[in-house]
Amino acid sequence: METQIDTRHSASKSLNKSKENTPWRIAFRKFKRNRMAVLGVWVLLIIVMIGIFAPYLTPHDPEYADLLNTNGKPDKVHWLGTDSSGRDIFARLLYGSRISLIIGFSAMLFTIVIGTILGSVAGYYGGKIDNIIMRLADIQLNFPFLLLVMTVVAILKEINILIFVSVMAFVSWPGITRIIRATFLSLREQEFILSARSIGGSDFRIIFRHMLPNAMGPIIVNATLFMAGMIISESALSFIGFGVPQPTPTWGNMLTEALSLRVLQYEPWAWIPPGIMIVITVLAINFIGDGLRDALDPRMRKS
Amino acid sequence: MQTEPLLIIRDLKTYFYTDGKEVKAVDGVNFQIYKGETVALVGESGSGKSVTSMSILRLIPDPPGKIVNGEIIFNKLDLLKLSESDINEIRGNEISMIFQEPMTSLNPVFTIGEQIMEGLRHHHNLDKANARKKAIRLLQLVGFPRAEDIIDEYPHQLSGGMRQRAMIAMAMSLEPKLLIADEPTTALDVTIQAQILELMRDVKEKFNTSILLITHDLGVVAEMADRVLVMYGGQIVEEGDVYTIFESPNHPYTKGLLSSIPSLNDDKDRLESIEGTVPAAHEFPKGCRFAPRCGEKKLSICEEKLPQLQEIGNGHKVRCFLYERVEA
Repeated sequence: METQIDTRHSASKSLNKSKENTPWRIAFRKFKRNRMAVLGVWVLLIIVMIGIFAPYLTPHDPEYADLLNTNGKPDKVHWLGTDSSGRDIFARLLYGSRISLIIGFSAMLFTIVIGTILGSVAGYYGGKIDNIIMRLADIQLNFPFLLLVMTVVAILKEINILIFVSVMAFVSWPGITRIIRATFLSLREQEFILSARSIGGSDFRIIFRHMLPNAMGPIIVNATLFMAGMIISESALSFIGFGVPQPTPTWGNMLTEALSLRVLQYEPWAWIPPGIMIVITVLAINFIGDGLRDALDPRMRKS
Repeated sequence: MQTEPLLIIRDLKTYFYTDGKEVKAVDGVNFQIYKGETVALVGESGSGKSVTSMSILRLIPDPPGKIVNGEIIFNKLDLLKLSESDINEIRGNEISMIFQEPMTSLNPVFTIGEQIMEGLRHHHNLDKANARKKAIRLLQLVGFPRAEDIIDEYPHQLSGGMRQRAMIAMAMSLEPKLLIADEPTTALDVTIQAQILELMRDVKEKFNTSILLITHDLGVVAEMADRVLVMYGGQIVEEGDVYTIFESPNHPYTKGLLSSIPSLNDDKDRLESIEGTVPAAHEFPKGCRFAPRCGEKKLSICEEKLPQLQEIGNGHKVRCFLYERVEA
């Protein structure tokens, strides 16, 4: 309601007052009021910066194995010591954020695209098309995520980031598809959709021009939370050796070091930092997601 | 009367299929609308008025609905035979609709201007600047004093009456030949109702548009309509020009409707009402659909045979055995 008053107030003053009152502006203002979410944005920004400027933050090559200096303790040259192949852990930690973020983001994007297209088609048309897509989703949901990814990765001979991301997206589309479908099912009954049809909008136009913008809230929120999930999945898969292969540094495959009992017990610098990075990143993204959810939820718009 | 009807509906039957039951929402409706004419479609909730109007633009959700029979001839084109993309050209361009709920019939994420301009750009291929100019003119036409501001506002910033005005601007933007208004004033309060009706009349005169007005408010009918169609149970039970219907209604249902209007002049404690409710569409009686509620002296035939719509004089048609007998 507050925003309504704002409008009337500034209406007399300026002509472009509506620029201040688009739904996105309102959401942005509400987002800014959520401290944890704003903190999350800053933390995530710092991590992105670390990934981008990694070469300037450390002189070491994260993939260079110094076999004469394995399992080194932290010292002035290697700030966090070296791993079992003699690679600098600090450098790997910095470069690892690249891979983790890229995988998290692109797997999320890929999934969202698949999920949005399938979900909106299923929700809009309903009937047979809906049935086919949702039964496929059910079948997909019946497979345990990790097991399926492991199987696919094991079958494929060569794993690179693109393939890995595709596999993750391929097995995780049902969740987002269901959410989008549910949103579209309720949107479809709205009168403005009927009114869009009554002025001659084609199906394509109605789905993408009229309905999708209305579904942006849930899509963005779920995309964010999904990205956190994808980063964790990547870590888990890399940890058990089914993720991005060595020597490419990711936080997940850095954790692999902790599989050795000796490292786990006596060399905490090798596995605690990547663990902490994963936790911080995922937490930051989840806070952002929660903030977005509160900001974009129409039911909370009035508060 | 004008010679060539703009819209002819012949034996329209729209049925819904739910739970294996056949629901005859519209069952054999016939009528015409002439150019520049306002026709009111009156009836209780569930009598099939909205389904009739939605059938014209083929907006019936399928499934569960289906137009099983009939012809809808608009400008010599049978709308029921057009392809989906051809009917899309008619929608908005030639026939447009105004809906009951101004609160929900505008898309909340676009500005008023964007929504008006969409039709203009889509159907008339106007560029952005021209579409905007036209949209502002339309908003002025429907009575917005600050049209240049309103065009950039979002639906949630407008009141119900303002939104309905915006809807009318949208509906008129392509200068359609027929405007279907589905209870356009039901959700508005009385003072705003009068303004909206006034506006619709202005717009109609300006563009010489025909209006199909769907309502259950007889006050609105008296105000707006040239001709009245009374619907009951998916069928038209009485048809006539507005004076005939109000002065000498013949069908018992129309009489009932008219006598249930509260009058300031009568000194009565209770309002008149028609006994009972509209029967559900899948359990219509065998005979006349109004027979179970009919207050007049019933004939034995009423419960056995369905009466036909018969002309009893100068465009006045009634579906009732009481008058059929006179004819015969």
